[in-house]
Amino acid sequence: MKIRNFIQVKTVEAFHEAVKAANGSIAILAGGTDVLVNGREDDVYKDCTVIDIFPIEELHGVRETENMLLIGACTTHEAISHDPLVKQYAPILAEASGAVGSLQTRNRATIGGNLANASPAADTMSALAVLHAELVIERDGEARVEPMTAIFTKPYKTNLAPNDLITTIRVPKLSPNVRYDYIKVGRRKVLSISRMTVATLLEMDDEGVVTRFDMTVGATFPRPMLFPDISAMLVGKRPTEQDILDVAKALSDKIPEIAGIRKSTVYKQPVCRNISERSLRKLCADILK
Amino acid sequence: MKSPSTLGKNIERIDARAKAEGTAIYGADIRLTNMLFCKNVYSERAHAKLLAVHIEEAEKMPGVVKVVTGKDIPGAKMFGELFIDQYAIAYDRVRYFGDVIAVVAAETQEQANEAAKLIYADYEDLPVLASPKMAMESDVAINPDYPDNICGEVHVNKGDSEAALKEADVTVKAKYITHFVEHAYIEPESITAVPSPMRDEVTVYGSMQAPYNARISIHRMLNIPMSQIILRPSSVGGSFGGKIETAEANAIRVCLIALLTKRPAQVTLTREESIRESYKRHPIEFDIEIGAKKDGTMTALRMISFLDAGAYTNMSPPVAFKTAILGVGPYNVDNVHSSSTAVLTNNNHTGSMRGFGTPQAIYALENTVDTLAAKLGMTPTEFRRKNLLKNGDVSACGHLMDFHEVSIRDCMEKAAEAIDFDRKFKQYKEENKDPRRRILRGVGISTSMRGASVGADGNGFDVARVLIEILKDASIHVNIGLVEIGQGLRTVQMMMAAEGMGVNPERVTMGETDTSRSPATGACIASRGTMLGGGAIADACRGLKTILNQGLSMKYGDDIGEVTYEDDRVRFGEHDLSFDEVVSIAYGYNLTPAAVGTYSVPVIDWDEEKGFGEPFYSYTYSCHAAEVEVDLDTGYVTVVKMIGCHDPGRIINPQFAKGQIYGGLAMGQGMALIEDLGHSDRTAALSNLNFNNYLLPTAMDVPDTNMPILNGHTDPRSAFGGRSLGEPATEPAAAAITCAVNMALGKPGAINELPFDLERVMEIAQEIDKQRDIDAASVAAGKA
Ligand SMILES: Cc1cc2nc3c(=O)[nH]c(=O)nc-3n(C[C@H](O)[C@H](O)[C@H](O)COP(=O)(O)OP(=O)(O)OC[C@H]3O[C@@H](n4cnc5c(N)ncnc54)[C@H](O)[C@@H]3O)c2cc1C
Repeated sequence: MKIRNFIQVKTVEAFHEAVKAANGSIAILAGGTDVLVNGREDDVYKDCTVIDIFPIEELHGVRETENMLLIGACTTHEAISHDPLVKQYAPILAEASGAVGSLQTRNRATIGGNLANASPAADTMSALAVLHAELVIERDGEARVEPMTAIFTKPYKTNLAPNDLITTIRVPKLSPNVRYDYIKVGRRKVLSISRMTVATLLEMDDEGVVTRFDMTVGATFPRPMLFPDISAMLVGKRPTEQDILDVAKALSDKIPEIAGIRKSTVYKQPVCRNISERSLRKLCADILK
Repeated sequence: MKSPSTLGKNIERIDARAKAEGTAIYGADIRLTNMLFCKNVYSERAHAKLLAVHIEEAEKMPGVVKVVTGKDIPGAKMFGELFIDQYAIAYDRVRYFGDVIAVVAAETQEQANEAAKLIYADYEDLPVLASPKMAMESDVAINPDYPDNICGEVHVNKGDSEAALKEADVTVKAKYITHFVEHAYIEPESITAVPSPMRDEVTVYGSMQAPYNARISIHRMLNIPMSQIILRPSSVGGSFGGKIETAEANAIRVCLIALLTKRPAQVTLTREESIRESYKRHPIEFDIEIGAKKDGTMTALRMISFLDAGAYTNMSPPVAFKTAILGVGPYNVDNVHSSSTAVLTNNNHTGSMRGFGTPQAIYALENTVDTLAAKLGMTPTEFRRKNLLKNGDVSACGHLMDFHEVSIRDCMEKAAEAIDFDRKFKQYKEENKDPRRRILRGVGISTSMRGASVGADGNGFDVARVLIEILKDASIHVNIGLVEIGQGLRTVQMMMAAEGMGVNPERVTMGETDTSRSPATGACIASRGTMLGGGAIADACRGLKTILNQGLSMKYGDDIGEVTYEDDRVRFGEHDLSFDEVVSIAYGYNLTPAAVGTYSVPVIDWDEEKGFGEPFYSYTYSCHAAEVEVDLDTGYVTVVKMIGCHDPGRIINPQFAKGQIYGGLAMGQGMALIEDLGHSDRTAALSNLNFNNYLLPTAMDVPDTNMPILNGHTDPRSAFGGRSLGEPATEPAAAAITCAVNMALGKPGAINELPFDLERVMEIAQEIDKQRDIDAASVAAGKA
């Protein structure tokens, strides 16, 4: 891999300084599991100063506020998948991170990198979408907050500037009542780029009436998406078998609608419908009885 | 009482520690003073006339020492193991994307890589023939020696298959298609050539499976005497048949550079280059038809197959031989026609790969057999019980099986029992009818018989040689050119030499293969390493004993009678000597206890014209059973468990034998379900050039519960009783899995194209769902 220069930084401040000092293109390196692969295939980084942010202590680990989980952008998927706070307040993310690559990959690959790389097949995207996650992004010492879904423009492209650093992923805490399901479909058990993921959050009151419903499909659309119209199909209702069939159909119909009819649609549309039904039946098992 | 033998024991591999501790030297580990690093430049066309190769810019780049093109090859322009039609460096035409048009040698790898980017060529495009069908219909000949693009045809004929099919009570006609499969050795090709400062001599190191073949090619192309080409294969990081022609082409290139520059030169392929250049498993299309009587007796079998040979003949004719002959399976059937045709195309050439044309055929045959069984209302095991060969039967190719234990039935019973086939088959068939069930379960079973060694296709030239020398300290040193490629062969050879001399295995030392020390031998291919190497070792041991006995006669008189070598002792008459004593007696009389051993497979009675007779000298019997789960929601197939039961003759080392089986099962799983090179039948290009998208089963995908069963019967036709296992271990695996998937889907033969990936399985799953909807609707209508 060819690069112009390589710098390791230990603080966010040092990162900003390194950006200024670089005078020229920069590339952020976190776990490197995407960067090293890209760099091997092409000389894409040959004019870049590569800034390694992995040693920045403050970007690792999960903290909480009253309503939010604050996940450092350099937290690895392996750490997230075992983190007690994540397991308690955003268990669907623990599953999604646990589905990434293999143990070796997860020990190095970070959640910030997963998002900034903007692969439509990134495994955490569908989970973070239904969680309504937000990103804290710093440029030149200034922080701003954006909805996670807002940074993506098209496959492998974000609207982040080269000196934009994702520092934190903010995830609203789920109440313990929220049911969740995360399904990954790949060609093999591990080390497998998702053909599709389906992430679902469902909350019901004591009567079985849905108070919150978020469901989306990953690895299918050009960028992560949320569908208020799909949520509206169940909210305020006590779901029936027919509702489940309707939601699954509506969600799978989004595929040709948004992504257009492609070769993969023949596979993805029915699979989306099937696994959405499977997920919802599982989540509503007690209600459907 | 005969003393316990070395054979059959789990003796530790002699290379285990070096490999586990990382001290073994593989091709790319080699670093030499003054060594040049090389980079191949590949063709940008799949088929074109090569008008000019522009190397001027590259030559001017920093660090570049030499750039060679095809024009620099002083001798013959082409090489080939059996058919000389392959370029080491293309000079007038390119025939596939893996052809190399130039090689850059520089002081560093980076410099060579940079310079290589500047090399380009002028091409005059020719039509790209990206499938056998296109090649057979085209009037363009890829190789003028084969004007119709057909480079091999083999057939089998027994009885009258057409008439028998007409008379059969039940018949099944089917089509099966297989795809390119990559060997996926973990070590990409790496070759180093070192020129001698003294004379026109070059020593070659690296990942090579067939060094003597390479020696011939280097000799022919670079015009140096064979004696001055020394090949010393390094530790080989996986081969599966794949480290032959591609390694050889690279050896020729670096030898050329080494001789021109008088400096050591190394080339190490990247994974992408390795997949781009190397040959693959043959994609084959089968038209198959089988017939049976109502009682289940199989009466007729017709199998017509077309193999994609790719750009070079490579091993296609002998592969076609095995497809045609072993593809008809271990069945007792009177009327058989099988024909295999190999067709040149502009795809990657195809050649030796574990199984050599049979895993594809067994997959086609066994799925068809299951379809027929279902039509007859029989289970897969019932049908096979009725039709598998037994002692004294005549094989589907006309071989009277009266010379060893024909254990295929026993192999099947053992495999079936181990997976509980009969019970599960019934149970799952019932369960799967439940329309609410989204995960269907299935079991599949498949059988094969594999010819050991080359077979009638190589009648008369199937030979192995060894040189064994007993040193003054009574150690026994074996020099043999049948290469250790990870299978444990070197240790097996050591065990056989100890057995042959009746000594402790500790006495036997094994040289690394070195063509200047070991006599020329046929290669470590074709399920022949153990059987043929064993034959040669036995022969050398006989020679050594004759020499040692001569010493004994000189000391004890001519009438010493019979001498036995056993338990590390030498006994005759009243005498009971240690092996060391006997060796010093021989040295004391200035004898030379060194012997060459030769074994050639007896010529067998195969009528090539008719396609009938004895195609092989002996066979290994195999049965695999697989249990799978098929997810109707996603098309995902989970392999739950596999059994591999084999009779490879006498089991020389049980642990190695099991290792072969575990690996063979995993390899078959990949071939059956996920491995896909992304070949374009328009451009002939491969899109999956690395392991990010060429998916192999991982340790998490291969079931921990897979189980090898050793069902060895000592073969009187093999010196030490062992035949072969490397290839048989893969042969029936893809068939067992695909049969299980089709069974789970309730439609034997439904999926007929490899791999059985998500999309193909999903297609059938949707049909099942549609049918279930229709059934449910008609039930509802009935109720209304
Ligand atoms: C073998 C293997 C298997 C894989 N399997 C999966 C899988 O199953 N599922 C999956 O989703 N992914 C998978 N990946 C992809 C990869 O591991 C993930 O996308 C990972 O999360 C990337 O994180 P990283 O820290 O390694 O990113 P890096 O490679 O360091 O960076 C990726 C991109 O993000 C940018 N970046 C990183 N951090 C920040 C930040 N804080 N702010 C701004 N920009 C940033 C970098 O500049 C770069 O453009 C796999 C990769 C490999 C090599």
